[in-house]
Amino acid sequence: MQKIYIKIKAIWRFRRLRLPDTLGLVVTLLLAIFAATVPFWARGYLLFQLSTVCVYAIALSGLNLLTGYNGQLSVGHGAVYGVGSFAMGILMTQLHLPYYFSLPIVALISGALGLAFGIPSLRLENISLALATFSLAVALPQIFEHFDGLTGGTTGLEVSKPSIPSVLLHLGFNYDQWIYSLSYLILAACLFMISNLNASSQGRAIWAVHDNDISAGAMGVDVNSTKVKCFVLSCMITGIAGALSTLLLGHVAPETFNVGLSITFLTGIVIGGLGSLMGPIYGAIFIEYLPNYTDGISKALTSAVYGGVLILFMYFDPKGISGAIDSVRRRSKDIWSYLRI
Amino acid sequence: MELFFNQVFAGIAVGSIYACLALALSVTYKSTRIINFAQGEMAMASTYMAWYAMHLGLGFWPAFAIALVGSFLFSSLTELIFITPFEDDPPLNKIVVTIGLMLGLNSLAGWIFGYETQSLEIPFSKPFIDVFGFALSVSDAATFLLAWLGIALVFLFFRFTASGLYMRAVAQNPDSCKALGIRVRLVRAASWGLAGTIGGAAGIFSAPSLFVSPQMMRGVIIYALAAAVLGGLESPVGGAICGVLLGVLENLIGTYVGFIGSGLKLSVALVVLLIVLFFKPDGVFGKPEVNRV
Repeated sequence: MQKIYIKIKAIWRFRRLRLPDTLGLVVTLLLAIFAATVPFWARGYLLFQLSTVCVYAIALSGLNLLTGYNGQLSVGHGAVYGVGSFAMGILMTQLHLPYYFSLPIVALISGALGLAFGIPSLRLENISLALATFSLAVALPQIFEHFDGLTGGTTGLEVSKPSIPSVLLHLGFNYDQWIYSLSYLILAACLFMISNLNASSQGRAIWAVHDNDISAGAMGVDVNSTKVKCFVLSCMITGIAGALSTLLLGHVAPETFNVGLSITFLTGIVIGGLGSLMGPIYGAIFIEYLPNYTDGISKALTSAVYGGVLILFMYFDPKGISGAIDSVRRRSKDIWSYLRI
Repeated sequence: MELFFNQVFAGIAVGSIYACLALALSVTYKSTRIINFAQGEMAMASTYMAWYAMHLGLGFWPAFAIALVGSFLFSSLTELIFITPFEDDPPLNKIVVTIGLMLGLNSLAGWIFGYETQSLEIPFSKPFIDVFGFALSVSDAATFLLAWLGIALVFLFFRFTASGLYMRAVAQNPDSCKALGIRVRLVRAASWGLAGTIGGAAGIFSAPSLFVSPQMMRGVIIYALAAAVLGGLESPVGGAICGVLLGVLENLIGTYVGFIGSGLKLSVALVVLLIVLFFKPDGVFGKPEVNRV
């Protein structure tokens, strides 16, 4: 007993687990638990909005992996999201697959899209890549509308909502509560995976490529394979988010996945915090709730606010909300250590 | 055969508009190392300037002149206000800023002028003229001539004037230019102004066929971006040539390949872009960039 006490004391001292750190951890955990309890108290539109936040957060963490962590700018992740969405719709309506088979297949399909786009992008520098992905985002709705036998043309597909697992049915869950829980779990899994990746040697390689790909190559990092892997993984995550949105809405239409969506995603991740783990969540909350306030005033206001906010964030706080929170935390740490002395 | 030639002429006319915008993009790129996603929206703004001047009762040519001067000032100011503060930032941040500008300008235009389409007529006495037995639309021919006149002027400006030399020098090595007493900031703003003027001219030429609305440049800017990248961002003339080629290709494929029709036109640009970049990542006319660590 005595030994354990000494050990804890030693850890406390050497790890310098100061109060602000512990506080941050506790607050994060409490928020995560609070978010897990949402299905038990939220109903109707609020539950739908929060589910959308989860789905957007998954999509944004995919984009974050590519643009924030690896520094490859994609202005076309709305298109990837759309491909995931449509793949899910087609698998479920045309092939009548259950959702639990469709989700992994969607991941494979969007991963393949990532591969198809990631390999040519190896030869593009940052700017050309932004252009290529931008043109993908512009062209995609037309492609969806063109293959109307598969995608239902301009009207899109109606996807009937699958039945939820019987265990949950017995516990009194309805469809909306179940879809929220599913998105929440997938989001948690994604964030867990990304944080582990970030701490691994592959994650270091990703950052090295971000900072300077030439010197990363000189250090023995396989720049090309790192970039392509990042592209594929990022597209898989965003594609899964698209698939979840199909389950959530029960409907997919080509016009939803226009350039505006891609730019909205980019705005979200810039505001949330490029290259930070929690950034996607802040960004998702922003892009889900802002239009609620601005659309009531004027349709043009939403994109005006997006534009203004993009420029202002780039000027004052390029690391987004997450960066701002980090700097507050750092400052409070300084104050704390000052007070302790 | 007549259909073929008509489509080629129409393609050249549309392509000249792409060429102007591609030229504007590569001038911007050369001077500030930024791809300006807002170039299309700036051209839209210039078109609205011309439209508003005509709305107030001016003739076409005075309105055209006012719009060009206006877009020069507007673009230079944009550079000074929105781009100069991000001079030392990584390229990703700069691109995000131009995307922000694109959104902002678009909604500003929607807010001021509304989202309805307006029409702007270029005045010519006859709609068609006879060239070697083919009916050629006058506005197409005028677009082509004016666009290439503009491109030639810009080329001569870069090649033979002191200001053009400054701009090329600043693009290559801003630090040495500062040491030599060139006012880098001013030159950059002027380059943006020049790009804005070229783009604005393209916008006004395209107004008879596209009509004037905040969304008018959405389709055009994609082709212009594709053309600029295909030609090599470093090479303004390459971008202009690729713009014309893309315009012709787009029209011919849209007419003759039934599977593609008009619905997949944008995808053609995307596929061409990807294929060419796969084999020649620096564009057809570009030189490979040498990186130093």
